[in-house]
Amino acid sequence: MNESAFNFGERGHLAGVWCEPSPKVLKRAAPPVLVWNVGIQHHVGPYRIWVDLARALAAKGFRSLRFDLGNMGDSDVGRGTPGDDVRDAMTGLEKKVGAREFTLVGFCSSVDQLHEVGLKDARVTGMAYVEGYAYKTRRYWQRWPLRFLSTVRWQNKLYYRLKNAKLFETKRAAMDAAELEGGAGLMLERQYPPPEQFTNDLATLTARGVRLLMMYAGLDSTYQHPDQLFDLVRGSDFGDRLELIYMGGADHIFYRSEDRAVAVANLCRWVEQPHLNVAAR
Amino acid sequence: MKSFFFGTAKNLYGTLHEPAGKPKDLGVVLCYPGPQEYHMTYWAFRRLAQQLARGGVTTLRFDYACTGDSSGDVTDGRLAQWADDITTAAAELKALSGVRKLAVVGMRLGAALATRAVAKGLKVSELVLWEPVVSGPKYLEQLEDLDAREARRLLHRVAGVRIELGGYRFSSGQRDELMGLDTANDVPRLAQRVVFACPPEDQPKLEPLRERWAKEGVTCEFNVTHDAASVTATEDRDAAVMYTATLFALTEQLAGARA
Repeated sequence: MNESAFNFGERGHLAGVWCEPSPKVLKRAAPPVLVWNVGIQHHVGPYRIWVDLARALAAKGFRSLRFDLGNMGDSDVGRGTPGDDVRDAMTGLEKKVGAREFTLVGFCSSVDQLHEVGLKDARVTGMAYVEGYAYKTRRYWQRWPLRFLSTVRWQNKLYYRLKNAKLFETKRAAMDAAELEGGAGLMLERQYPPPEQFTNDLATLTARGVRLLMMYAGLDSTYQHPDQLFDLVRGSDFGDRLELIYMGGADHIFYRSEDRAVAVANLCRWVEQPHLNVAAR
Repeated sequence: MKSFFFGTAKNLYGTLHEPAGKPKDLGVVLCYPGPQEYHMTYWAFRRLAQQLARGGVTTLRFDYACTGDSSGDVTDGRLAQWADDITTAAAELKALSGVRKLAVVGMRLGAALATRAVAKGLKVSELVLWEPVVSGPKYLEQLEDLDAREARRLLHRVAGVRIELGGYRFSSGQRDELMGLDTANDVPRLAQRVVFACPPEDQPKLEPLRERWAKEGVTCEFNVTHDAASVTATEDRDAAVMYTATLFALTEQLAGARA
């Protein structure tokens, strides 16, 4: 495995780390995997999850780029939108290694760019939504009262009520300060696609042949039931192109290392699936 | 901003911020806190590096071995290695920029590591210890407190025995190292100027260290700044986004003016 810094974009202002497997295991025909900022976290991801993913993928022969959107992490200010930056990453890798297809992995707020770019750009052939859009369906509301039985939730609520009530407001004010990077808004100002549109979008993507992975955590997440997504998309036919994974004991940011390891293993398996019988070349 | 891998094994990842205008003859190495506080402070470090570069100071921030983008697994990280990494980063910055004067800014555990690097032979014109970790056992308590709070916020049950801390696996070797850490034992004699950067409430806690080093002939100054939050207080894992005044104060101290 070899990791190197990679600059791309119109002025080379975007930066990331290109991770390449050793030539012996490299699956050159497989689409490179792209990951980027999660909220205000830079390209290593929460608790280094993207580094773990890149190295695990490399061990299986897959290339990856973890990068920063403009004005975040190690990237300079650009003129484009965050979606433009993701497209620039693909274009940069087309030039660098001749890749024509790409797998994108979004996590929490970065699914916004994933969804936008994946819908419009035919180069995207695989999309993983990690803790992506979760809609409050009937079964979510059926389970909602169960939270009142959780002592951890009560302790949590009490703690934040007593000690940290104004924290979010303070943080928001700090992020709004003129000196901060513009990228902060990505985390705080989000708009989910309406549920019907999201369902239609998934159908559009799978009809185009895009493989989809939806991976949800269950602890502090809006996603509270293993089949919550299927409640939403009931009646839609995605063939075998949509896979759903529910990690009920994991939290939204995969804080526990064992949860991260499982999440990384799930992503690796999903990336690897279409290439299982393809020899390295 | 230019990112690259460096070191003899090209195992360390760093990002160089070059001055836009006329460069000063000073380079700054920024030393992150330990892995558990790294994600909390990355944002603030990027801002500080940009401000310093705008003030004419070439600045390098980098990931210690086994952290961030640098090679290795976090459980293999060791204090001695990380202190050596600071010396390697300082040499890299000098080689890249040609600066003759060097300042090192270390935050939290990074301050303890920077102190150790200077005590072991790294010559610097300024050593800035930003909310430094002074006592390893006390630091460990703070990390455990932060971990419990974060785990509770995320609805995990906090177990009695911890095999991980602050989102990372934490080896018994690392625990033993921290239990034995006493920053006062590493006297930074090769620093021409030593400055403690801290919020007002931390100043009394740093006085014993200042007095101890004074007996060893090392004079320390304070750069006390009030911000909306501090990482030391560990009120929130995103506390570092609330630094603004401190970043300006450090920029003014090192670049000579608000940049």
